[in-house]
Amino acid sequence: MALDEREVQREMDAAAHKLRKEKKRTYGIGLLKGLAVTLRHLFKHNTVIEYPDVKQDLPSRTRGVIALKEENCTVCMLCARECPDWCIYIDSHKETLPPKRAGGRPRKRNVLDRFAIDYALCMYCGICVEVCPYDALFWSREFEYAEYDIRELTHEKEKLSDWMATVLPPPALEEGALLPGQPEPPAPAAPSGDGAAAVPAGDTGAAEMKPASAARPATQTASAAEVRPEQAADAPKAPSAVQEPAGSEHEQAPAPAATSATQVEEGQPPTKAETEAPAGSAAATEPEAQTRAVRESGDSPSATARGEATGEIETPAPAAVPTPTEDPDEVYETVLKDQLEAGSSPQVAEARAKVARVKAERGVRRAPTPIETEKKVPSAPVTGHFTEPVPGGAPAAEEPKPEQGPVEPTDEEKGPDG
Amino acid sequence: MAVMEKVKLPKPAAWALNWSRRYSLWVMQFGLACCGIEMGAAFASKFDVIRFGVIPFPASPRQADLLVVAGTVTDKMAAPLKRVYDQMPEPKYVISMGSCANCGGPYWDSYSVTKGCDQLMPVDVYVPGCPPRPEALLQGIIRLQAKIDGEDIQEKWKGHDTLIPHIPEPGLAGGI
Amino acid sequence: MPEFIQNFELTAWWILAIKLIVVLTVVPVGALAGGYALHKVMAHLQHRLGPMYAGGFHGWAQTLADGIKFVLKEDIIPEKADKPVFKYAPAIIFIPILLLYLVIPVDRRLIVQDLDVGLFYLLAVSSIPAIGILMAGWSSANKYALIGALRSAAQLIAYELPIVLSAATVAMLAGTLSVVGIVEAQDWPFLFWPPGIGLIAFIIFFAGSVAEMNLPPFDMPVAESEIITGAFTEYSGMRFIFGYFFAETAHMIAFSGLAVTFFLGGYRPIVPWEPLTVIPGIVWFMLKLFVMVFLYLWVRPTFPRLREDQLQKFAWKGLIPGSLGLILVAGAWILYAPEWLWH
Repeated sequence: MALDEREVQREMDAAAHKLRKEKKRTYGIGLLKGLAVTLRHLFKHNTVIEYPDVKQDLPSRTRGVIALKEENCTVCMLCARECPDWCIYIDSHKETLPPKRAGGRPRKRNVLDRFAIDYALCMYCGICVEVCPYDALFWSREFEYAEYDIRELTHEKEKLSDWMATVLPPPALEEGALLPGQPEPPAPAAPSGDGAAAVPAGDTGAAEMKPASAARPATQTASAAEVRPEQAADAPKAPSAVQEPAGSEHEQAPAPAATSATQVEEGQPPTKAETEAPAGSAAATEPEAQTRAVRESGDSPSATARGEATGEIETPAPAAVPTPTEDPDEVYETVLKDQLEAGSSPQVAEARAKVARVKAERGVRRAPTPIETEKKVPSAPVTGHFTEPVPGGAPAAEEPKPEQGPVEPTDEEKGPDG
Repeated sequence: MAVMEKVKLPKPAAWALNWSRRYSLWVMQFGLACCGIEMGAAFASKFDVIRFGVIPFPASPRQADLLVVAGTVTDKMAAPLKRVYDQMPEPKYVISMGSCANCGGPYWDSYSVTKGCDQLMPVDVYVPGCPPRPEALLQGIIRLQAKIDGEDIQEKWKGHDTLIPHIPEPGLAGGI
Repeated sequence: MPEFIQNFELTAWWILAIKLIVVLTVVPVGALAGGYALHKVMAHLQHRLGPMYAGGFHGWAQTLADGIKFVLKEDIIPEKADKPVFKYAPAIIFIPILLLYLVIPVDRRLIVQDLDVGLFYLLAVSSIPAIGILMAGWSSANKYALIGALRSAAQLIAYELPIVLSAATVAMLAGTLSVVGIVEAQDWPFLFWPPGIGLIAFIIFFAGSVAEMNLPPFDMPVAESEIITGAFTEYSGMRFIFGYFFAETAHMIAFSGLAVTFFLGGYRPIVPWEPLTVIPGIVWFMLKLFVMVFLYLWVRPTFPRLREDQLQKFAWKGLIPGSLGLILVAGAWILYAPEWLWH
């Protein structure tokens, strides 16, 4: 050990000596190098954004100015109360409307008299936009409203409403995203059981919250006894990631959902555990999706009852060890090649190939490995034109969701200063 | 320059003087907080404020025409700020950059923060933001140049209009 | 026009008047152009654009706007200042720089006055501005101004020597003190002949002139991070622009002209080829001048500012012994170099 240290020390000394010698030899070269660097930059293209002539394409979530959609405001005062700077001024009065039907009670309504944001005071935290329950406040990307007088920085509701014209529409939903309250699309009839891989998890806003719990093994989630069918039905819409064919209820408990579904399709002889408690264990594996499937097939009560009665859930059945059908190394090579050809980065291609090899080793039938095509990032449009958001279906049913943002395209020229 | 106050300038001369002041704004940088960073960004390569003739050379207020107050003016810093402003030769301009310099911003109820640099000096352009984008400062400068362009040089020389804008008392909204 | 150039050497009073008018217009215009070049070259070396809006086309009128504006600005004289000294210091700085232009030969005959002791005169006049800076710093009643002025004086003493010694080398090789004579006596290739001597003398002259003009990286007298604007901290308006801004660029152009005259063959074509002599000497001079000005502007944003002691060390331990040694080498060359090497 000591010897090594001495050796290292000697090497370091030698390197330092060499460096010193080199430094001495190249006296004055550093000056020329510096001159060369600046000269090179003279001929490089400059990086200036010529602001008033050329405007930067700001990100769609830029906090420029807050716009007010006056019709949506109900004078609930949440924004004014949450504002850390207290820079929102709201005045209102109550209006009595005649009853709708004869003999009814006269209705009362808040009418917005004044809504002003003092931009001289505002700290652009966006809390008001976040707390607004009725989507009356929006961020706009405009930032050009410097004034000669500080009083003009207090934008009254007329001016705030004018900013609405500059608000960008919400970014388009990604493919397969579910709107709140939207009925789920029918389960795909594709034979591929590798659903979790075929539809990348976290693809949609709704799916982002759930896939982790859905794919969690039964030992971690509640047992079937706890997961009642009603609860499962009440649970928020199942993510698309676990939309399995109805046949996948014949599964074993501990394996992840995708894996077990595949085995069934491959015609693996069911083990004893599976035959004994098919539905119960499946429900434990994927509480929501499976119970839904069970409900659809119509025999959920009995299945649940059987699962409770036998108590199979407490002792999960041993996992079946299927024989590999493909050569793992061969799979690795083909997937790697496919991925690289499809334009994935080497790291991603290697990772996917490794996953495929592991699956092959475990005998999991492999779905075609997803290929990451270049997705359109829903960011701010450059020219003010934007693609219409692709709605996944009907708007929300339970909660009236107001229209978000203006529909007409924004126009850069509409800014206050031209 | 008492001459300037008495003699009525011919129109081309007045135009030339306004033009020169418009495109030669030597700027005194008074970066105090995060707005100072954005100001630095506006003065650096990507936005290059020298394009407008706003030249960040002077280190001494004696050579500056424009004072950019960027950031939180504390009561302790108020005196040096006022002093720097007083040391600048006429005609001089002030840009207040960011919420803190405009009226105290998030610190409007702090015991130690001056509620806006317009309590100390007349401000020509208020740039909103917390902090404002570099482009927002550039837009403030463009507005200042537009203001200078329409200025009457004699009025400017007759003495600085030291009207400090009235700031309405920030109160609670009526409905709460 | 050629006839006028032929007569330019005459000393009739009207010729003298024309000469003065020419110099008095060339210097401010040159200073304005130099300031614009400073903005633009520095900007492009730093990936920027520089002035773009003043005057419309690429901000060509930027320095003009600066000039008019500074004339208009309030003229502040500190209460405790030594007022006459404070007022006249910028003139002491600017007038010697004007005088420098008198003996720079733009063409063989296009020179205000070809003095017999031209080199001597140039070196004498070029060091006067430092006295003006000292006056400005002392009279401002400001500690930063005083520190800046003293730094400037120390810098002048340290860097005037290498300049004089390297110019002496040139005079030895040329065998004359007349500026036109020096240009005529230079052999092609100007900077590289006699081998080594010319180049080293040029480098010493360049470093010394950068320091004498207080340009970066030797701009400690106006180091804004330490002493605000040095001696000019209290100056505003017209006095500032003549004492510092115009003076700096005019000085830079004058020294570029000197370097062209001493080392780069002045108004002579860069290649001794007969057809090139058709092009007038002023064109060659201006070309070389642009190269020199660019060199000064190139160094400016490239190197960081030195420390005051590093500056002194560089002069006293590097440049002065180097230039003294160079004089020895040049003397040896004159005495022992074979005749055929001379032409």
